[in-house]
Amino acid sequence: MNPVKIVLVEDSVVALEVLERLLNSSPDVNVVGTARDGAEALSVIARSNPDVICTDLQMPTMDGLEFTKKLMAQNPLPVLVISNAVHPSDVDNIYELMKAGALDFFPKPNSGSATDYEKIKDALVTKIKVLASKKRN
Amino acid sequence: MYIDDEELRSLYEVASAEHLTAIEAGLLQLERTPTDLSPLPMLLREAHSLKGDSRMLGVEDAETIVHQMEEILMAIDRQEQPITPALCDGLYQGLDAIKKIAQEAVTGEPAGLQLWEVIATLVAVGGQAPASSGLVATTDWTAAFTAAGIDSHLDWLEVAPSPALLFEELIPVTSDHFDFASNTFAHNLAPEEDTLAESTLEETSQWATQQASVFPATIPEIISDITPPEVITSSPPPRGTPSLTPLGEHATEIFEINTIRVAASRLERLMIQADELAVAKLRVMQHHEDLLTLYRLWEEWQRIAPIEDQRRHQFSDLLNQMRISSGEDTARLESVANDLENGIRQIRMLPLQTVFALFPRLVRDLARQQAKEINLTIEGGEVLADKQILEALKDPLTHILRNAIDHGLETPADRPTKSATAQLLLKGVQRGNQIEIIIRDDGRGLDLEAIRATAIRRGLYNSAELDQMNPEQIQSLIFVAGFSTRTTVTELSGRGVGMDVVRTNIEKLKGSIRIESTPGQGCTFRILLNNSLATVDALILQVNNQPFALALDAIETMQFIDREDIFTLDGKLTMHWQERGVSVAWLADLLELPINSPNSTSSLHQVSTKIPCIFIKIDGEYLGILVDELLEQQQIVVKALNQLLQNVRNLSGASILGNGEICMVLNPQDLFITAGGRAVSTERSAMLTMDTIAPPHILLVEDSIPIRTQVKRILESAGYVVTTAIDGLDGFDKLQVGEFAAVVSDVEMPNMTGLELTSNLRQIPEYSDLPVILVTTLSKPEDQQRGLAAGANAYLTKGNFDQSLLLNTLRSLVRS
Repeated sequence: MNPVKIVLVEDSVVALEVLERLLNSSPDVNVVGTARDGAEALSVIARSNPDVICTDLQMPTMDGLEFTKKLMAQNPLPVLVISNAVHPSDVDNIYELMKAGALDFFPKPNSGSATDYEKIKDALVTKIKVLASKKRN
Repeated sequence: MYIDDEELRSLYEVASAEHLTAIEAGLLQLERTPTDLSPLPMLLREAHSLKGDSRMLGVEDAETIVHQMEEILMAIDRQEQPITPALCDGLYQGLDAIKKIAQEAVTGEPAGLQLWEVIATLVAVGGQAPASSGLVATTDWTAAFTAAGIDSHLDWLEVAPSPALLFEELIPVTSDHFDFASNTFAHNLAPEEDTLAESTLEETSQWATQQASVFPATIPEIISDITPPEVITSSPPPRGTPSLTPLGEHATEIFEINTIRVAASRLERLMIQADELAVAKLRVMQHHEDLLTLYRLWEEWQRIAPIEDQRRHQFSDLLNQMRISSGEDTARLESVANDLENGIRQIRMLPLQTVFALFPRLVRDLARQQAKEINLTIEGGEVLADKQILEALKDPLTHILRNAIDHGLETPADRPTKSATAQLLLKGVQRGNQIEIIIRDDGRGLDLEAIRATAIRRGLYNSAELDQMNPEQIQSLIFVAGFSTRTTVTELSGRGVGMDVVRTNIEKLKGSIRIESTPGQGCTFRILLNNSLATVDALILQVNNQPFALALDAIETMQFIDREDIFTLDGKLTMHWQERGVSVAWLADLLELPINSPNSTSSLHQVSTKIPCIFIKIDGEYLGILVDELLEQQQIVVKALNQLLQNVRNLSGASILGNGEICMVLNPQDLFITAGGRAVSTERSAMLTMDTIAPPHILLVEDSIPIRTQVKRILESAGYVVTTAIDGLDGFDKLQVGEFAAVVSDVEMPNMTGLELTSNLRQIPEYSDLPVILVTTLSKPEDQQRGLAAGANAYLTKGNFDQSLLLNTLRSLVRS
């Protein structure tokens, strides 16, 4: 099976680097493009033809919600929201996102032991593989 | 907490600094106009990102503090928290703490702060916020924290699960539940998304409520907090809202990245490569010259011995072709290499805002501390300057601004005729190849009388000299080492460094600084800087057949000196130069180079006659440096030394000369230290000047009025304070009432002669060491003998009297 092609959307370079490393350390997935906000993501997606999108929630210019709406309108793809949903106000966003068509959520990994890291990776990759199977072919 | 991974570390360094700067700027704006809450969305977003980054990399303390700050910001956003200066103080302290923690995370230097203190401060300042439904759990926690007493519950702080963390643990659980939605996704895309989302929403909230009952007692509270009823009942947003703009709008936009972030170290490496290219270019140009010479030789040969031969034709053609294409290639290489070098140098240019952004906070804090109202205006932040200039500007600007606030600007009560809010301007202006930085305040201006008084007290000038000066000259005295008009040391400006250090720093940047001051109306500092530090005018000299460069800035003068001019004083090589004793040293000795035996008659000849000597001046001290040869003066590009060599004394960098030869650049400051000079550091020399500058008091004893007047004038112009006595007896009396550093006396006088005066003095223990110089017309050796026998330190005859002899003698006696 070909690795699942992923586009990562994340405004923090730190988070982007951590996630990209995490994902690329698995043979089952392959990050084919990254973007720092929703607007940029739309053009990256148009060029890189990914299977799954992983996006942050809070981003400048175009946030995760607006991005998901736009994506669903023009090029529906499975969307996994990777976010620190820390504040009650974010809960509203999560429901909004689900309404907009996001399929799943995953908390941003924090630094922990190597075992934790492996666990997080496995959980994330599993989710992504499930989502990839939902892509309309 | 130190981030181990190098790449993540540098990413965090840049990202956290950016977030902190943005948050600080937003807070300042918020504090200035508390009615305008428009910066809040940006503030919240920046805080959120900073928290996210910190969390991901395990910088937990930063995460905890940002979280607490976020709570306050959200309360402000809900208009439940008034913006007060005390609140802002607390938030700034939070920011400072995060800065330190971030610093620790990227450098490993311990931040050395107590997390609980920072949190307690934030809780205390944000305490007025009434608890909101959405934040019950959190505010409960903070309230409990405050109520239970901070000190005894530190451990609790570490272990208490914050509601935020609990919620996060819930997220992966709930998300599993959404898998069914994924299953139907393939069949129900966009058209049905509303119904899909709605069913999902309902299912989820039901599920959440069910789960809640299973969790420990605290959890249901949180669940109800995080799923307020209005979320459940809310309808999906109507179609056609602005967020659902028609398709093509964004699709037609061209994707473009306008800025790229590059680490400064990468630019440095690029710069080094460009320099290497410059050297290669020089060599290629040299090859081209050789080729031209070869071609000319060949042509000449052809003329002298023309022989018709096929091979000679071929050779000739090929040579000509090479000459032409080599010329073209060299020209092309030269222009490309130069463009490349300039281009990289341009990239190093950054906006002045980079350094200006540091000051709003400083001004705000100082103003609050001193109960002054100050409005800081920053202009011209977009003007570009070399990175190196920006780095070096921070300290001088900080000092000038601190001074303006500390000494210049008044409290509102002291500004009856002016607006209560003082104006402070920080402005950058591009002036051709230079940049000007203006710092203007509308405070009380410089106090000329206070400056005069200080100059006299510090012994820098006497009042007669000050009378000769115009106001500008008196104002510029504040740049003289060791000057400070404040009698008490304040926390702000009195840190042992004064405006002299500001001037030194500016001069290091090859810039100049000027003051314009109007009493009662304010003061303006103008700093003019060359906007390119790339090249330095340097003198190329030679020692042991090796070239060295010395920046012209440091050089006072150069001259050939005779070997006989040098004598030894206290074991140090010294020579008389411009009426003073100046230490001299062989550069080869300072650099610990091996002694070269003369390898040619010409060098032998040179050693035996005139020696080139370079006088360098640092903070009013001179040092003569003896070298083998002065080669030329040229502009050089100084490259920083490799890290391994960075701490090598006496060298500040290296450069590549026009002929491709590598040349070390000397560090004048270090040479001083190596030579045992006193220019240890600017600060220390400033201190020395302050302590020792009080002018020595001289007693002049002379019965002839014209000679007395004449000698008095000479002594005073050399900076001494002079008391006169009309004969030995008068002198002896006057000596008892004052503190004198030395006595200059005539010999032949009525009442008591100079000899009697001297021997009388020597009998009093207090005066046994007082230097006495006798000046007389009696020039016979036996007269001199009698003078020295009486106890005089020196015996000068009026026959060969010249003032430099007197002054030099006095100087050597008084100083020791």
